[in-house]
Amino acid sequence: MTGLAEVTPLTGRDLRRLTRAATESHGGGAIGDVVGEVYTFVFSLLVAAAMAFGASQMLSARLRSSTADVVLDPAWLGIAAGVVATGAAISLAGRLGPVGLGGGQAAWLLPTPVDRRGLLRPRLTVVTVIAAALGLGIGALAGTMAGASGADIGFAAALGGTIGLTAVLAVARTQVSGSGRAAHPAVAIGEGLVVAAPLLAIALVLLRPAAPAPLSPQVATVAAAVLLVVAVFLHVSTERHLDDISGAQIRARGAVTAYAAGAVTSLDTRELGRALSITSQPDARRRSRSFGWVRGPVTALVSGDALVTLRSRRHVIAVLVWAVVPIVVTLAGWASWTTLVGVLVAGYASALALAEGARRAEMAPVLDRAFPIAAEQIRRIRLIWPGGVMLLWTVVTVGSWAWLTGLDISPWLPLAAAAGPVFAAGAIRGAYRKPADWSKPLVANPMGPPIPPGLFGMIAKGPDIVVICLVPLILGIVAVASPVTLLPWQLAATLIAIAIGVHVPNPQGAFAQAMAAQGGQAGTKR
Amino acid sequence: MSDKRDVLVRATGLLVGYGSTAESAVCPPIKVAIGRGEALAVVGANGTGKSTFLRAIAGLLEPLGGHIDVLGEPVDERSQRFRAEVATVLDEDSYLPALTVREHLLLTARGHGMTQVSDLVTEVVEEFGLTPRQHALPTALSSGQRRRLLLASAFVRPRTLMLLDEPEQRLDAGMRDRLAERLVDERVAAKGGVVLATHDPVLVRTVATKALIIGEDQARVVKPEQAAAAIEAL
Repeated sequence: MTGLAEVTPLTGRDLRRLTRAATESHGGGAIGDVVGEVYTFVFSLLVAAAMAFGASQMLSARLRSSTADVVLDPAWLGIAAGVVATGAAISLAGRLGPVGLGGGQAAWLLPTPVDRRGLLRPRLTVVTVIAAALGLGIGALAGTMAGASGADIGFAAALGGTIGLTAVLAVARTQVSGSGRAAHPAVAIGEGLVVAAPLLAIALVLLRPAAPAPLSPQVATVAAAVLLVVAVFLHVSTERHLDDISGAQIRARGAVTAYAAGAVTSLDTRELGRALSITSQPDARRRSRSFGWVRGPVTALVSGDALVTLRSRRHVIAVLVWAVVPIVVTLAGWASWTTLVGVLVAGYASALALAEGARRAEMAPVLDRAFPIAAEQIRRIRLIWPGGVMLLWTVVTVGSWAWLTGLDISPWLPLAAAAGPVFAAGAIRGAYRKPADWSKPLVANPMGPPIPPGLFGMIAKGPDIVVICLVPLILGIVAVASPVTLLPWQLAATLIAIAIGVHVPNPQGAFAQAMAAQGGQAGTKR
Repeated sequence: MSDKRDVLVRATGLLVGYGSTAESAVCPPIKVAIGRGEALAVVGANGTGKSTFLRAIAGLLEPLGGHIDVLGEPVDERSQRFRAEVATVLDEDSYLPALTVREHLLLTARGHGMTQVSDLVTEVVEEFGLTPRQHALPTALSSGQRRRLLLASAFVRPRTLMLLDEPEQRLDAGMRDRLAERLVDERVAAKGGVVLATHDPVLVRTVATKALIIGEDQARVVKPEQAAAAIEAL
């Protein structure tokens, strides 16, 4: 208890400033750097917005070039896209929010007797700014997709910004007083919206309602103003309760956010998926399955892969929602090449969700060693689950496209069935790719931070065979050749994709992975 | 040929380590062999290379020098036979995601071709003190519970050789004693082989038929009692 009486306690704000001053004195940080960072951020955001705006304008220009029999009014499409984006934002806020401190800051600053409110305030400000910026961008994009122009896009952006702000702050307000132990309801609500939007789009097409009334500037302004007032209230209220968040919750959220940020920086979707799964897994199940159908290592491995997907709400939703995307694009009446892009992107994204078992095994090779299967057989077996589901997925999406565009679907179904496993082969190839080596000298990059050599090669591994080995299907969709002619070519291309996807390039791969896990180097082979 | 198969692990002049040359070996050359019905305790101070030696037997680390045969053949953890016959519990904290404790054990047993496994799994779950948590996911377990799940998984599947890295970690005395009984059964009743790195003199005295003491200057094979005494003297 010595000397406690003479100590003048620091506030959280003081400690934060002290830490920043110390960091800047070592790192050479100056106000110029801050201005530079803000400039880079704003400039990047503007470039991204301009690109998205241009792309959506280009799509809008082609809206009337439809070959589809049934056409969805683009205004509804804009609304559906807005609902998906809002749902994704709410779900993400439920997983990561409201604030967290990770790594060194958690270890050194949290145990100090300063007030948490002063310490965490800037974090909440960052969350608020990001929510508003994302909402603005999404609002503008949805407005453009809905066929708005000029000032109307501005109103849509303002409305989107205030909706994003209010939604994320509402989630944050409930999080500051919760225990943070269980998954936040916002995760389920957000995922519900993501699922509802494409279903809504299909329902709208079937019901064929009239186009919604255009957004009146007066209504948009009033709505945005009301939402802004609510957002300000929520921000103030959340900020006042920052002290209520437990240290454990701040650490946990900080760790997840740091994990997710690292995954985004290294452009590794495998790591990002793991980071986002952390806070949405239940602790226990009511009962365990008996696995009576499992008769040996192959069925055990396939059952494990299937359960990993089926027990993760996020992965099931991804497969279903992505399946609807090409159908909605077709219904929107866009050109066939947009359907093609939709099928390729959505197919690969669905296959990634289905290959989660392989993606986990790449991180923990012990999962591949757990059963009596030779190493060179493992990837073939890991292909069974995603390959089977993607076969059905492609039959449904390509079949729907053919039906909606008035084609005879019977020759398309065998072509789609033959093409489906290519997505899974790409996902398996991508799952087992080696991560980029950040320990080698980084390559300077004028567009942003330095990148490790081979980063883009690493990212392309997986999508490469999807694009190349789906050329017959692609030629079919853009009407270069008939599906009957293309079927044997697609079968051959699929076999090539599977051979590449399940190929184990280095017979000592397990050693290399084990060494990577140990942080050491592989010994010399005798 | 059968004689060769009866020797489960044979190391000759074995050098192990995480570098790329023999000079970077973490311990002196190792010469040891164990057959069916035998248990080898690997002992030594922290950092002498016990776990590294186990990783080499498990095929997860290329030897820097010398030779190592497992099941009568040069070690190859990638082969189907190795994965079917060698049960390994090293310091790896990895699980099949989304599966409960009980499901892990059922899937492991059935994946290794066993049928009628429910009673065996119930017994092992009980023995390792996991019954109250058998429907929990691994992410909701404590580190001690996860360690016990890993140990349990080695006992629900068929095996010829068990490799265990400090199995006594995070076990209370009663559980440790029951583990020792199981390991004695493993070599006496099942005629299997056990290699365990350990700091526990009780496990050495109860389970081992011989011991390998890894020191700074030499690695020597001694009687279990000598090794237990060496641990107590550390």
